Amino acid sequence: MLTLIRTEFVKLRRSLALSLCLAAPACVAGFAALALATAASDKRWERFLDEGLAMWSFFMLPMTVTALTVLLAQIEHGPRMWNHLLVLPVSRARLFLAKIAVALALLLLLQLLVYAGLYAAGFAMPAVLPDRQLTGDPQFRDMAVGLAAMAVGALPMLVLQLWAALRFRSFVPPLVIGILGTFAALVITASNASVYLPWLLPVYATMWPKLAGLWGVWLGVAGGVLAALAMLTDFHRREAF
Amino acid sequence: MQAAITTTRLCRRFGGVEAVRRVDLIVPRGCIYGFLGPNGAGKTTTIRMLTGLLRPSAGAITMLGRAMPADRLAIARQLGALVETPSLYDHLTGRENLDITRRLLGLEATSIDAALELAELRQAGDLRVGTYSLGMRQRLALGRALLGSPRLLVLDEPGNGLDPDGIRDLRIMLQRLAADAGLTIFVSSHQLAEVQQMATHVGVMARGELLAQGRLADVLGGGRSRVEITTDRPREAQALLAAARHRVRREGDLVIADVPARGDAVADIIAALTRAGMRLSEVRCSAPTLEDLYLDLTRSRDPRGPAPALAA
Repeated sequence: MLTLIRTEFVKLRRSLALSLCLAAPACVAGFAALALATAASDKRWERFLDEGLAMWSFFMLPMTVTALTVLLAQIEHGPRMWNHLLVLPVSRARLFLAKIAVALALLLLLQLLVYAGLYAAGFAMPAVLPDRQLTGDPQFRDMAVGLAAMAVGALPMLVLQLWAALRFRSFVPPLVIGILGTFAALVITASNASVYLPWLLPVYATMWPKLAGLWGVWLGVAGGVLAALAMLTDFHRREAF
Repeated sequence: MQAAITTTRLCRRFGGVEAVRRVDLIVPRGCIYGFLGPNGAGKTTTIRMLTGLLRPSAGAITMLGRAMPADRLAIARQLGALVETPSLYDHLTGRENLDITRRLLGLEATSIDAALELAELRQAGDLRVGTYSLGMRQRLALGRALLGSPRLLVLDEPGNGLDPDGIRDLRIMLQRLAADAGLTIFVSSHQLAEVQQMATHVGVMARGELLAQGRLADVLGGGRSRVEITTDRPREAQALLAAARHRVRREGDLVIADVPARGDAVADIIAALTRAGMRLSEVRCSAPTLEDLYLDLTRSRDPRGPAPALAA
């Protein structure tokens, strides 16, 4: 299995997927810095980080996951690589499990870069604008826990988006699903049913260790595993890609 | 000898359309099997079933003594394949493309250099595949199909996009692989002249059915030549040759006979006709070509008419 995952990383060389993993967290850090630079008064670290997390979890993360999974799938769809890969002596389950593993690794990389980017923006701001100082505790640990919980909560969304991206040769269906999911999450946030929406689970998960956060994390784990099993079953039965 | 590939009443339907109908392939081990047919004949669908990319709707496939798709992984370890267009990662180098397959097959890193050497891409190995010509891509894909020293090679239109030199090089390479390594090569192609020079066995498909297959010489008429004779007395010439138990027919003044392709057979015919006092103004002798057979089979296979008699 490790060999398969390594080959997936070889495929990422010079790919747009890796560039996206750098660009998306940089955007979040940039927007958070812009919000801080244009704020009416000094901010506390807690509020600065909350704003960054909200921006990432509500909008940027679902859209980034949508684009990332599409790019990962297009690496295979574009040159019709399935005609080669599915003839090799490798089981389909392992082949697609490796895809999930790589998508998960890139999600963790995104979370790590968002963490680093927000702190880099926060600490660098006084050097650029001396009157913009963040006050209070930088909350390194809480931020790390929040981003880790968010990653777990994002598992169902990640697998569902990857499933759609691999299932359709065209990038349009997964893109439409991602955009609809992201905007549905924004629209039904206040509803009780929102906690079941995969595109909103990362937001709930950041509330860890509160009840909503626990719900987001556990539903993320269960939903991620179920979605992965459903995807593998579908691809085991499916013939053409 | 056990066959490398056999199919028994192989069928594949897409909705209500029967793309492959009751195909019984027999591909002997160590042969080069040319798989011919017009576009839409069912060749690629058959190849996709042989490689496990599609499941048969009915019928059975045995490859290298194992059942496909039940033993797909075991078969795939001995199988090299090139299905449709050469599938390659354009953003990676030739070497990196080979490295991915090399890792998945569990081979040593040195196998990459051997494959690049075979594909004559040693100099271009570190260039991105996106910069390769179609011929280079075909060669790289073929080199990749040969990674792991397979016993059976299944190639779908490998000559597509190659220039005449490339096609000739491909033919020589495949003949060498079959002769030196004992590889069985199953190759679909539209290049009939190339297949005739390369293949030991052929199969012809049209409209989803296998119309003929067997050793090339047998399929082409069992080692017989066609003799066209222009004479002043064609009726008498036809009667004389028929009496001598030759297969003969007449088209106007032209008498056409199928004779054994041995050196003195034509000389015997000429001697017999001149002894009978006939004036022969022209005698032309030719061996039937694969193109003749292909056109004969694929054009005459009309649902309204009977199938031609075959030496299959």
